[in-house]
Amino acid sequence: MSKKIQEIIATARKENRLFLLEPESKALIKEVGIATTDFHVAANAGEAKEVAKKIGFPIVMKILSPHIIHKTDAGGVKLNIHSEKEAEEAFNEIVANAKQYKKDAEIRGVLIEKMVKPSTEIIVGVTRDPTFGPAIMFGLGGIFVELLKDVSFRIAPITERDAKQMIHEIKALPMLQGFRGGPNVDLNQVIDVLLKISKLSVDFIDDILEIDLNPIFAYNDNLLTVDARIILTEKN
Amino acid sequence: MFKPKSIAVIGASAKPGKIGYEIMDNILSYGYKGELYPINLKETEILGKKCYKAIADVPGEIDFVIISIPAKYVPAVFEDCGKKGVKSAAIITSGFGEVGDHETENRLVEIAEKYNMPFIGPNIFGIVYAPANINASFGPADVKPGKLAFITQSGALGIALMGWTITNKIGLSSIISIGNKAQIGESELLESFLKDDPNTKAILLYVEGLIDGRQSMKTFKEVGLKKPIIALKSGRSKRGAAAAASHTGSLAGADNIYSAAFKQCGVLRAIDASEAFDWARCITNNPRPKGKNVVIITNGGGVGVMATDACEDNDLELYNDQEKLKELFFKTEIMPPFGSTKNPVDITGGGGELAYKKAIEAAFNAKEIHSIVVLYCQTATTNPDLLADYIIEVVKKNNNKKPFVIANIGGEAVETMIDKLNENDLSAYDLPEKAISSLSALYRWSDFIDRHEKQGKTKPLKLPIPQIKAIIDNIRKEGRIQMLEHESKQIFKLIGLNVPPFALAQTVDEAQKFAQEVGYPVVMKIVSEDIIHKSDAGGVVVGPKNAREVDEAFNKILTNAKNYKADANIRGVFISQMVPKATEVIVGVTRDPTFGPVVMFGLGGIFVEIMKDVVFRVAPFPKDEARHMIDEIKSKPMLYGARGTKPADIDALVETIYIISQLVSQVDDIKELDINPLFALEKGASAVDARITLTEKIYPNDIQTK
Repeated sequence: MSKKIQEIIATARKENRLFLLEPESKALIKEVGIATTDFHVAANAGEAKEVAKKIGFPIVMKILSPHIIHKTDAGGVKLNIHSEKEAEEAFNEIVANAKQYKKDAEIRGVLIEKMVKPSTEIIVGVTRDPTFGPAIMFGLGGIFVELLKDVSFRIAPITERDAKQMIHEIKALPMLQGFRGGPNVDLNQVIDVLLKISKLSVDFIDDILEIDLNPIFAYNDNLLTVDARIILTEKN
Repeated sequence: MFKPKSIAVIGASAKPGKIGYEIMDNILSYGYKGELYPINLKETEILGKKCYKAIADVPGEIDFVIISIPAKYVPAVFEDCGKKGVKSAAIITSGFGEVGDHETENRLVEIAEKYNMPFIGPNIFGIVYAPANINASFGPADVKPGKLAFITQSGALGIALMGWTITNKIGLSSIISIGNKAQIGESELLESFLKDDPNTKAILLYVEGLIDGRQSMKTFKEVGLKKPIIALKSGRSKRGAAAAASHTGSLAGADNIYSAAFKQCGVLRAIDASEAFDWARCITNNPRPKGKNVVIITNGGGVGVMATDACEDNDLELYNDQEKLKELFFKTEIMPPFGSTKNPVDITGGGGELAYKKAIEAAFNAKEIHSIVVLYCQTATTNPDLLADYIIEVVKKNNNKKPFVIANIGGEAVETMIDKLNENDLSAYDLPEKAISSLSALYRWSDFIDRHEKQGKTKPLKLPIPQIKAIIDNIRKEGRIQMLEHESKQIFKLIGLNVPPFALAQTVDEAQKFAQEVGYPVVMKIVSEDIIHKSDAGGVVVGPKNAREVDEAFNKILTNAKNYKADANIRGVFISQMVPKATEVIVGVTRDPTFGPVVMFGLGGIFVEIMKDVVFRVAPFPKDEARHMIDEIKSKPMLYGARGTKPADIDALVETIYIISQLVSQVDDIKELDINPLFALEKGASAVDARITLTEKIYPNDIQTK
């Protein structure tokens, strides 16, 4: 078991948190070999400018606080930032919004990421069933999961064959196979993510309760996790 | 045909195992009271009845003949029947339309019409009409009399199902094998006999294909408002449909269109024979429910949960007033203190015959409860036979005033109990799911009547037919059947649909002028009947936003078109206002060989192409149906403002679907039509692309010149 993962979890436990912060979640899944967007944390407006300049525009900025889970609701997310000046303004605005949303929220800075080209979204998740334990979910993002419930489940740990079946069970699969100019995704990479997430959910069964990689942008030749959420178990 | 005073069997035989013998035997053993005349060239007596050599030799009148002789002799003998003055006939013989001999089959129809002697068949196994003690079939002899009419297009399956109804204690008023339906099909039987037959409460149809879908729908609806119709339509799979078409030589339309049509005319479509007869049992035995509150009375928790699941799957509502339920059922004579008055009402495993009786009595007497479901798991403390008696007594006493179904689970004694209940015209099943599904079928029929009563009549919409015809005539004159975009959109404008402003430009100057008029930015497309795939030909430019860009686009489109196809007949460039992106829906029309124009609705793109999330309705239909169509698709939340989208103007979509249904019902020239996409806007709807294909009929002018 990765030492880094244990450290990330230990930090959250020490702070009595039942969830990981976005950079922690991303660092954790990176550790098991799942690609995510690069991220940086800026502590102040000056740093935000510097980081932004270094990684190049456009960028996305998000509030980083253990007390704010619903970042968008708190006015803590800014997209499409195109200049250093905008980055500085966005930093101040995000922090101000966050303070207004929750006066005593501890603010650890602002997460800065390069904005990536949107593509067809997929979702990989782990939920904890009271009877069966960790279950892996796969589906396409947005309306497919929310409205059409076009998702598949398997109980962890899953085999490669399970992962393959999960992918082929969803109706919207053609969306990953070049439908209407969409991406033609290497499904082996999707299998790989499913297997890694399955292993993670079993290896850390005492600590990790739920995982949400939502969305993962699916491109022709790679997958990129854009947002990740990990919830921990309520243990002492 | 159904109440004949005299019957002749042409081709009667003295040899057991022959069709002509079995029919005679069935007629006699089922207790037919009228005159019976066997006709046979060689025999003098069959089954104690005097034999005649020919129909003409029979003394006295003949109401009904059954013909079972080789096909080649049938027309002449049928003609003789006509001359004799026979009133009606059943032609058992096979070897006509179903093997391609339509000519002889048509000849039979001519004879029938000439002598006003209606007939069923050919290619049938006969008819049964229990109230008149007639079993003129070569199926099983001991059909259980009851209130259900069973009409079947298939012979072998029909006979097999006759046997099934006997084993399963399903009572039948009539069994009618319609075979090739040369003169009389299901519609004629429904219309002219079963609709008003006091001995028939419900109808079960086995069909492979309908001949005139629209006429059938009209009949089904008319009859269905009086008596429920259950249809078992085979050929659901593509392969199955192909087998059906070659089987009885009938055209089987696309299956989802059948489903839509049945739904529209209130016919309950069952998936298999078991389901069909389950439903039939409930529907013939029970009255229409007066409300939606269902109560379940059970002696087992598990089976109660199963029934509850089935209720949810079948959209039945469990009555949920805890206070009232407690008041009704929490009594020592019904349940022990640990019983449950939550619905399902659990009288517990200790609940005996009397507890059941009291609980059912209470349910019948409570005006809040509209339908009753009873579940019984066999226990050592109850006697299934005695319980059956108690239940029969209480249901009969309440004179069927509420729908009542019962599922009994257990061994042999329970099987006997189910039979006993069914023989007494209760609706008993061996699984809770069957009871619930059957009750749900009764509700759907009842809802259909309610809906129909609310709907009112729809008047045809007044459309500018002469102007539409003028456009179509011009296209016909050019020998085309594919309309160009501007032509389709002209028709849409004429019928009052909202189309983004457009014009057809021949020159750059015109293009610039029109672009100004329709408003920037614009979309420009090549217009040529020789270029169908406009984008492939480089014939589409999206987004010019000033005169200079229009100039460039115009020239580019023409050059590309010439390069793509040098001799293409170019009619100009279509210029239209570019509409901001919106939720895309599709309204389409296809012409089904059985049902005629059918309207389709769905969300665009992946929803229609991958998820197949579309609905169909046979046109025309009232506006309410258009609204139901929208509510039936799974992706409808996209139209009601899901995921941050603005809610679409549903009324505008309803209006569009309705107008299109009217257009295609009034204009026979239109074979197919597609509005893809129709933009569902916050206010209104906009037909962004349009495609109309005409039927391939020959234009009268062509005939004159030939």
